[in-house]
Amino acid sequence: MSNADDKELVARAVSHHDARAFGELVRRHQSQVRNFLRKMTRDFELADDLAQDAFLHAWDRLHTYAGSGTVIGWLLSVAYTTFLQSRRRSTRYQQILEQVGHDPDGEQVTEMCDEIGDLDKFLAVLTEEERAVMILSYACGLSHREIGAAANLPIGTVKSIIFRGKEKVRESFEIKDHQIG
Amino acid sequence: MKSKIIKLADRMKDKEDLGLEALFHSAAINDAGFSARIVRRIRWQIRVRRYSLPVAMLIGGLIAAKPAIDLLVVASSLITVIPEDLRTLPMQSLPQMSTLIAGAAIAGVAAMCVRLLEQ
Repeated sequence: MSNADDKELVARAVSHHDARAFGELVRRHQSQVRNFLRKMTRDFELADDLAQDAFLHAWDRLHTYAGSGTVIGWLLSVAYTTFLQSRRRSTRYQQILEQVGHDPDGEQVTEMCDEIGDLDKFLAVLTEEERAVMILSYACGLSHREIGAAANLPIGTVKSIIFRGKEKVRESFEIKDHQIG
Repeated sequence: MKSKIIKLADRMKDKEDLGLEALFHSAAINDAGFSARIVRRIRWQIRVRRYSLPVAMLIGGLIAAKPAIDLLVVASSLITVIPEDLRTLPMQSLPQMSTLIAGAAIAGVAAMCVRLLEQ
């Protein structure tokens, strides 16, 4: 079972309703999916709950995986959809964002707590879409094409979001320099 | 100042990408029973889906059994009140074979429709 590649495991899980084959897929990719959701939510408990929901959704929709992209790319797209759906339902996510000083419109919140790490400060200046794309690119290592498929965006938009994200980082660092200087 | 930073960042694009990767990097999360929990929940889901219809039918059957038996008892007692000439009807008054076949066909199509709707 552990020697089989991801697509073989998907085929086995779909054709035989093999929960063990799917379990092997979960074991292989849980770290990346949970890391993605932890960075999106900035709340480990919430992220792990969402990851669990995402894998259960993935099990239900496994037959829709066309096999064209990587399995992890597809799993991350399911995780992103689960995240968006849960955020619409709950106010918990909004509370967490407020704690890390993020404005949903992407405007920088000037007063941040000292205990917030560099990554949180960086993520705080990005819009939700920019954050998802940057995380998928730099944390999960997906290609632009895979990010486009996961976030349901054209490749050109993905590239421009990454460009914009980097620009925001430069701007925020400049603000920091002025404050220090 | 801003343009200088942007120019510097553009020139060192690869380093910037590496820096971002380092910023986003996080250690792999230990499974610690996570995948086992998912598999347990999936197996439970499969079992629920597999057995929910037969169990519902069994419970429904048990609930309906007593009233159905009562109904049969009442119906059998009604036979005694049917007039004698109705009880000895000629064979022609019974449904013909063509009617029975049409009825069976309609019942079959209805069952197929119900199955398709369920799916």
